[in-house]
Amino acid sequence: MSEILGLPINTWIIVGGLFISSALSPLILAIIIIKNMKRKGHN
Amino acid sequence: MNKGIIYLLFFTVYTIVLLFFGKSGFKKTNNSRDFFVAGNSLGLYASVFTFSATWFSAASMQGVTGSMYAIGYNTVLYSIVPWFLGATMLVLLASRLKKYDILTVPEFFYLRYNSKSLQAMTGIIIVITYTFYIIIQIRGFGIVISELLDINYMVAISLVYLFVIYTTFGGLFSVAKTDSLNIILTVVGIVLTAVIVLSEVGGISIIHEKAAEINTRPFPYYQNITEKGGLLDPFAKGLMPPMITLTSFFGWGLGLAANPQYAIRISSAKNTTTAIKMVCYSVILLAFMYVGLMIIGLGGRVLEPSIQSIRYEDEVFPYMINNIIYSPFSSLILISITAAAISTANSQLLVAASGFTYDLYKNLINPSVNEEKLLNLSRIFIFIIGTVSLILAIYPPVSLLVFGGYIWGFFSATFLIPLYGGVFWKGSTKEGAISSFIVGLVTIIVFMIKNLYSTIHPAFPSVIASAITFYAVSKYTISKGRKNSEK
Repeated sequence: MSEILGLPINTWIIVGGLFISSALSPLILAIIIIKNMKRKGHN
Repeated sequence: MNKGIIYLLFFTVYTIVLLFFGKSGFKKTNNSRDFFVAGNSLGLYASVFTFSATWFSAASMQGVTGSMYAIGYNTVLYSIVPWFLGATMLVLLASRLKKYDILTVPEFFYLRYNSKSLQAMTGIIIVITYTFYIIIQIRGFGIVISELLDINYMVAISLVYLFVIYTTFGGLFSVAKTDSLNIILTVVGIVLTAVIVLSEVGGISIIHEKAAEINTRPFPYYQNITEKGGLLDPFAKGLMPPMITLTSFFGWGLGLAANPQYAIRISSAKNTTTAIKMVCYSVILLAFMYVGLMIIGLGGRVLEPSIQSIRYEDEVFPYMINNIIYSPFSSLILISITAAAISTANSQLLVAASGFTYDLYKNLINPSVNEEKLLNLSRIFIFIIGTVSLILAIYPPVSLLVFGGYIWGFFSATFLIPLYGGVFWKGSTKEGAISSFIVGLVTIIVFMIKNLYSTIHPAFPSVIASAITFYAVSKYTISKGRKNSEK
């Protein structure tokens, strides 16, 4: 099985992918909400 | 100089600085709004520091490191990913909760559903749940300090008790101030340890290559021997099946999303934008901290594939610092582990005190109580809860990470649906919220006592039962109300 930095590809995809996407999801949601608040003249 | 004397010196300096930081809160606190939510005045930096420090507890510092050591990368799926998904829900909550201007989460239930009984019931849950969760922090601290100062575990946990009670007496201003000190210490400790581990082993690739070959029992009392490649496998080669990993989201993830200690941080931020930014900036900081813990836990396993002298995974980190990678930085790193425990325990103690004084005493017994009496009562109750947790910590749970997931499950079973349903669904009713709370509570207790399906987290069926009840009863009471008004 191919590896990157000694770690199997499937671990990179499952563990790494979920870790990075879950860490960034609050930020992405926050950007959407704050833009929406500004558009509506919401604070 | 003797190792013990160096440790004692660092510990004394840390104590003095912590007491100095904690003192500032006493002057600023004039009423219960100051005491519980820092007068809704915390800016972005203070909010990020206190949110991150409250989040990053002994369950993270010692639990995640020990779990990485024992089972490897499954730890990320079992706990860290669910936590971050829970934080995503907190961003949603932050966008709506601020306008209620609450001092406690049970107060939201009163304002939204006009139900004093729901406020009181949720106040009781907060008191009980946090009393148990504070055990995790006391135990985490006790393990380190008994290792650090070579003193009895009982004496060590009495020290944390004094620290935590002192920093909580000044209210959220004190807690937030000491949180900033503690989170900086924690970050420094993680970075130093990760760098030392990487240089000892020779880099991340070598850690992975050597970890793939390990097939030992991590410590004598651990029930499973690690399979070759298990440490790098997402599901630990069958040790942690996908079902238990996925349903842990209902305990850890949703429990975090419904957790009063985070909702209160939303309320203490100075405005909605600050509250939203607080959550997402904190998660990015925490993600880097967790990468550090992954390196430390897995690297520690490579350096010493089996530790004979420890019983539980939570002892791995302090053992490593004191033995496997002892260095001139060891004192500072061990102090940073205790900082993680203290900064969470004082926040939880403060929320637990609010559950009693504000949601039970003021709500049901003495609504016209004056501010001074309420503050004094809060401090007395902080002392009582701290003492109960201390006594319970004498015989602590086996794994901080698993125990924490079960405790957080209580919040997802009881608070999650009435809280998010109340904020986002106009059709939710008082009857729906109360019945959802009761059904969620009964379900999780039954599943925990019976341990009905050990492959799924007990919070999983509880949240589903709570959600169905909430929707069905709310719909029923609305249609019943319509019929009555038509008559």
